[in-house]
Amino acid sequence: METTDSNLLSLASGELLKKFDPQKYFDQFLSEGVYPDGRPVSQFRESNVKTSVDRESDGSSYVQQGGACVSCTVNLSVAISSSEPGVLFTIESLGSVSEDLITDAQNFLDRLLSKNVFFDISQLDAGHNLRWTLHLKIMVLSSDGFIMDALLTAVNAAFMDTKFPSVFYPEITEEDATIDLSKVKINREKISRLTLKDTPVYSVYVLYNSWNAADVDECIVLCDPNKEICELTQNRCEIIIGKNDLIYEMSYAGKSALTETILSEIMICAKRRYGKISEGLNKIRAR
Amino acid sequence: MINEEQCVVNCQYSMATFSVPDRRNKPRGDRRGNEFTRLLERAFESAILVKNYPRSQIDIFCEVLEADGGNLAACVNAASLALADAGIPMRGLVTAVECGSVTGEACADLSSREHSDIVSRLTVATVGGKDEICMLDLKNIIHKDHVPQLIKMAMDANAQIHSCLESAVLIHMKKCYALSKRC
Repeated sequence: METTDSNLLSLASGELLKKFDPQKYFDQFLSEGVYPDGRPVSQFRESNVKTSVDRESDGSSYVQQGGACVSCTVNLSVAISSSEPGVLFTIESLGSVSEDLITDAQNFLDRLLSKNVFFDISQLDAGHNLRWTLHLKIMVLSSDGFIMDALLTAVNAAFMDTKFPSVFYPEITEEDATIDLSKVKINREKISRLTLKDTPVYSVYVLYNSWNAADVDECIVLCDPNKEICELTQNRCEIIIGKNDLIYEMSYAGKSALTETILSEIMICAKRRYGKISEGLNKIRAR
Repeated sequence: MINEEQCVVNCQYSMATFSVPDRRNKPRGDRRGNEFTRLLERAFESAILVKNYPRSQIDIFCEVLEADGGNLAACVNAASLALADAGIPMRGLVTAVECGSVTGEACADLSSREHSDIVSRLTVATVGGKDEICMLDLKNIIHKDHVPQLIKMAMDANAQIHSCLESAVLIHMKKCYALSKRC
């Protein structure tokens, strides 16, 4: 009975410390190189990826990565070839997700799609002067820190899952002839899939200065921090990395100085993360 | 939103409609502008001694009158001088520069004609002219082995810009001191 009481007491005091002095509470764990849940600071949270979750769409995925849950559905439409973007997307969220996160995600995805990072845009050519347009509907169901990592994985998985039916136009067309879209026939029995050029992976790192550190300027690199850690410190580095060590985007802002050592540590972690995620996505595709 | 312990830094980045050769429709509110706004906020939150002004807000409005590449870097430099002029204490003058990597070769301070979708651009802001990066923004694809060279070039350029800004602040301070002495 005494042991149970003392356990309850220590639990209660831990929760109280977390509430009234979160800095001190987290510092006692982070200075030892672990998060309060026992996860090492250099380790990412588990990811869970499922594809073909929505039978009515042409491609879909559901990703649970860390505390974020994102679903992505792809619907295809065929139209006359034009210079309009081949991929259109909308990002929606439930009320608990911050607007800033959604805006950042929109900016990142917009830039990646405009550079045709995922696949060659010529794959959208359906023949007969027709072209496919992909309509992505991304729904952020929950977040715990950042959403872009789960979002990008969901988009990659949805693209892998997308099934393109074959298109048939009954009349022979001249190059400048008018195409009547009502005569276009879709054959869903003959399908093809996208060949992805790359599956870019987003990862975020927070630089934390421990109170117990001998050197005031010494930083600990925290991988995949949760929401509570992000509120403690604003020093955040975001990186989108692709295959062959290509960096698509990187940004950092914060009080702690970003040194060359920290930057190379971050890039090594990001490369390792890319390898793990793309290996997982390739296994799903192979099934 | 009031913060009991420190001041809130609010930035706004906008470009005048006449600042670019192809007249802009909207001066602000576009995605890139919003992104620059957030980067500016986070950079200056780290440089300003925010704990000196609890329950307060510092607004920094940057308007680009003539754009020729390196807009974010120019805004950082201008905002830094404006904060010094306002007498707001900072850890040091924040200076920024935009560098580009062209076929693996690092180039400092690209103009708008030198911008393209295939040239990777890195904007680096440092505090006090030292190697203390408080903001970094990399756009367009680059191999990770080219990043250290680009950062080194940015640091060297920042040191030069810092000395320019510092001398401008000192000259201004001397003028003000001479004026106040006469009074």
